[in-house]
Amino acid sequence: MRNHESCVEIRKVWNGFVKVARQNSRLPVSLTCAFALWLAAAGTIQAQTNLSDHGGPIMQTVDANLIFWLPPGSHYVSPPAGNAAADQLYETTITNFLNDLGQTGYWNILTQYPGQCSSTACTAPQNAPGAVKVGRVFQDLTPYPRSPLQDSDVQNEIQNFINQNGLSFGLSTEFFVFTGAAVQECNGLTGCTSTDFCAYHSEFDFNGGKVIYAFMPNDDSLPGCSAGISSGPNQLSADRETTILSHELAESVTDPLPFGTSLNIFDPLGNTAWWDSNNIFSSSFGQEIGDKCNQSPASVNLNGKAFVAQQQWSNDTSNCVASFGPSIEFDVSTGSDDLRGDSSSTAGLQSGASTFQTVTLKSQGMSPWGNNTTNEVVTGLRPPVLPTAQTPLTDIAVTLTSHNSFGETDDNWNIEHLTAKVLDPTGRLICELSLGGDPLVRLTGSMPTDTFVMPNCPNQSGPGGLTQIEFVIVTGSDDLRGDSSATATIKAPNGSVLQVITLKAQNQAGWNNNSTHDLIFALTPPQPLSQLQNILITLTSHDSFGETDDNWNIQSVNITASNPPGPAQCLINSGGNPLARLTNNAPTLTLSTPNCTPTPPPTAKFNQVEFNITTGGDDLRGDSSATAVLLVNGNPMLFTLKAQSDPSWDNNTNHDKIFSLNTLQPLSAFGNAVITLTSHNGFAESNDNWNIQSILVKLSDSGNNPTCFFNAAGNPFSRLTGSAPSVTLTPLSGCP
Amino acid sequence: MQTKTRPRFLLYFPLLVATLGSPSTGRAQPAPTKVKKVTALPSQNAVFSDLGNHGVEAPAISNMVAQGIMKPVSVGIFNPDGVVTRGDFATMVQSLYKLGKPSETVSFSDIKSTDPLFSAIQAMAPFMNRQVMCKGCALTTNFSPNAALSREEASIILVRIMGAKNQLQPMTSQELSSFLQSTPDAKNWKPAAAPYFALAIKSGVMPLLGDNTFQPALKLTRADTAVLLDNINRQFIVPIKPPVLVQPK
Repeated sequence: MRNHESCVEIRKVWNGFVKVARQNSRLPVSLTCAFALWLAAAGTIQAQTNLSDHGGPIMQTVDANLIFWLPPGSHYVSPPAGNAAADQLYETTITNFLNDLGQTGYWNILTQYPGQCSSTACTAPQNAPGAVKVGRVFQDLTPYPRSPLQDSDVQNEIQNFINQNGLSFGLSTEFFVFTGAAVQECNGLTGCTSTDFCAYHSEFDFNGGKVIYAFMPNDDSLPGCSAGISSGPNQLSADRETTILSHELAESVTDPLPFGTSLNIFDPLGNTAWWDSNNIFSSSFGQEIGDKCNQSPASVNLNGKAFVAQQQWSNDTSNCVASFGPSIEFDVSTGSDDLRGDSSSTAGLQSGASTFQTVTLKSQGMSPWGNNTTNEVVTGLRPPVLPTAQTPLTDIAVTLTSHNSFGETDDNWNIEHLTAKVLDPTGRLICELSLGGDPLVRLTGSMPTDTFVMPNCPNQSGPGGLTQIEFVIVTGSDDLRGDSSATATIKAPNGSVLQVITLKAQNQAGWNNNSTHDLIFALTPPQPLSQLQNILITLTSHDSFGETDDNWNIQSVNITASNPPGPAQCLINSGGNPLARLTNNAPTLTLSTPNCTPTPPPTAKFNQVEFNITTGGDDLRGDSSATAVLLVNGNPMLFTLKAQSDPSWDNNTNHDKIFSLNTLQPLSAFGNAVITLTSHNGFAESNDNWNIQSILVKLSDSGNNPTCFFNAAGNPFSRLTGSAPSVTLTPLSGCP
Repeated sequence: MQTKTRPRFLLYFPLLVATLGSPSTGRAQPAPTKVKKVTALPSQNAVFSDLGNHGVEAPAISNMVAQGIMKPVSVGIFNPDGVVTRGDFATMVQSLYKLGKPSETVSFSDIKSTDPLFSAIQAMAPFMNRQVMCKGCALTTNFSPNAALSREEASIILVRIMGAKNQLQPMTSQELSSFLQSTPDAKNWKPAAAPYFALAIKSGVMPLLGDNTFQPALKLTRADTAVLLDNINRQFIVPIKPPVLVQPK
């Protein structure tokens, strides 16, 4: 697959037809524009123009309900590799992919495409933790009603789950229906999986509302749907699926109602959102955000985990990208005097007297900004770096330009409110300007520009400008010798070295076994939090004659950054036994920020174990019993969770069982735990089956300092039966 | 005069309406015998034994076969009710419009460069706008040459080609709004497809059916396609003598 880019002149013959309520600063204009000749697997040469907004809503957040429709005998991986374990990995990969999308550079692409605006604010896709999260997960084992499936079968499937589970739906919820290998589907309006599509997103009316959904067949098994992926970081079948899934999800967010409310004379493209409608004689007409980059995969790192996703179209740069940002977002509220359709406006980003970027807020060809409306413009910073202490963003100069036709006078424009936010690639706010008035400013022909001071950008008292970094390092059972030295190298996201700090110089005293060292250094220059991406701790031996290289056990590392008296921002909080052993062959420990999950100190000891178990849709019968066998120092300890004489554990009930140990034990003493169901059948009674929905196991010191030991949930997490009565819990699995 | 036995396709009436310039009344009328009709030009007599119920389409079929744009399925057999595949249609439009290969080779997983259809598919590919037909879809990389051609596909491809050849101009927003307002079936159309359908109907390239619906998913028969392409050929491509108007009885 090759990716070409060139420029052509695009005639925007249909411009006036499109109702543009607000525009991205890089919407297509009638002049030359960059476009991609994408000789892609999609099979068409794409003369690429940007997406246009058609005024409909977008999804700000996505609560993803997953329906894995996999009857017995079906798998997501074709035989012979297809089996239950592979199916579980497939589903887990998809679930993790969705849960990890929020607050990433990848998801940040979608923030370029705002939704509907009120007079004072606009909606927009959010890029924050949980912006996409998996809500309910269903496993449907019922047979497929026919082959090929029809779209109505998919809709019925979703409706059944909505009805049976009382699920909500609407513009913040999407249902994804996944099917097994080689399952075909036809959609009367659009074709079949066998000939036309690999997946689709759509909508249907239900109980007076809109249900947003996507049909996700197993693309690993469909010809022409593998996205050219021959290997991936997880499971090949799942990696191919997440690629197509990302296509559909991004399109759902930016155009959730692809068929609109209906055609009408006022807005024939009614209520759709972002797609390319620039020229019906262009091959890109009709494309949504994913279509322009169809089946062009990219490796993405989502919150520290590797996945494969499809690239998405960026209006900002008019090409396919796998991340976006840093960026600046403008929200401009017009007051009682509009910005005419034939006028344009810009925002100059200044660092002192120098303008380093000019952002087009409204181009001449765009619809007018009417009285009492708000328009949102998002654009990437150029060059793509955040403001620094050396090159701060100091001022924003907003300019009105009138393009008068014959006899027309200059435009006047009342700005009532102006917000400008500088965001890092993961959507974190770095600095912000927010001003209002009635009007804030009136720009005219004689005074077309006003300049606004951008306060503290980078923010010297917050995450934009951290001035101090603190290391707390605990040495374990192998010291750092007196003649050795240790450094910390701080690297930016682009890999450049920001600063090298000497933690211990060669001439300083050694760090003895089990000693703690608290060191504070200045960050020079101050850095925003987002710049502190990796910290490398390196041991250097300075061996005297006959001396061998030093080895150093690091038991724990805690690193924070701050701008005193502001609060400290956690960068690293990691521990182990040891966390790392640095040697001549492996002298460096690389720490990626942020990694601040609390880890119990290796010295902590526990004498109490607590099992918190939720039963799912199949109870634990009254005459059944359940036990847990926990290995402690290699010795099995038996705990009775439910005795035969105890009452049943009914469907959807929670049970908390606490057991004491005889002695305090370190975390390392605890091994696997096995939960076992035992049926005690009465006459003619069959074996009991038990669905475990979730298990949380905690260790504590007589209830103090509780520490997660195991944590898992599913639908169900595990089903225990007569033939498979046990489930094994691995230490620390699922714990933060 | 024979009357049309497949009422879903009004043959020449829309072209006449378009020619006479009445877009607001451009919806096909259900009573073709009450309007003026245009007969196809006399053509070389290609004789097919299976056109018994397709007398109205026969001249167009003869024209298309005579010009090499369509081919009989065998000697003396045209198979007028047979479907047209995407591969068939590619060869037809390539031949009709003398389409060359695109500046960049288009890659389809199921079409090798040695495939007899390769050249025709390459020529047609840039005009397919598959996304319009499949809004919301992640498209396959296959061309699927044996898939039956729908009215929607044919409309979009032809409008695209005719636009590239400056034979059609896009409707203004006002024209389109007015057209959609006056076409009740338009409320059933996909938003992205509406401008193509409107232009196809207004120009007479793809008329509404007898019940005033467009029915985009309906598959085209070979007879339908012959009439469709013959109309385009006569109206937009080959400068010809004015058609002979025949008054209704």
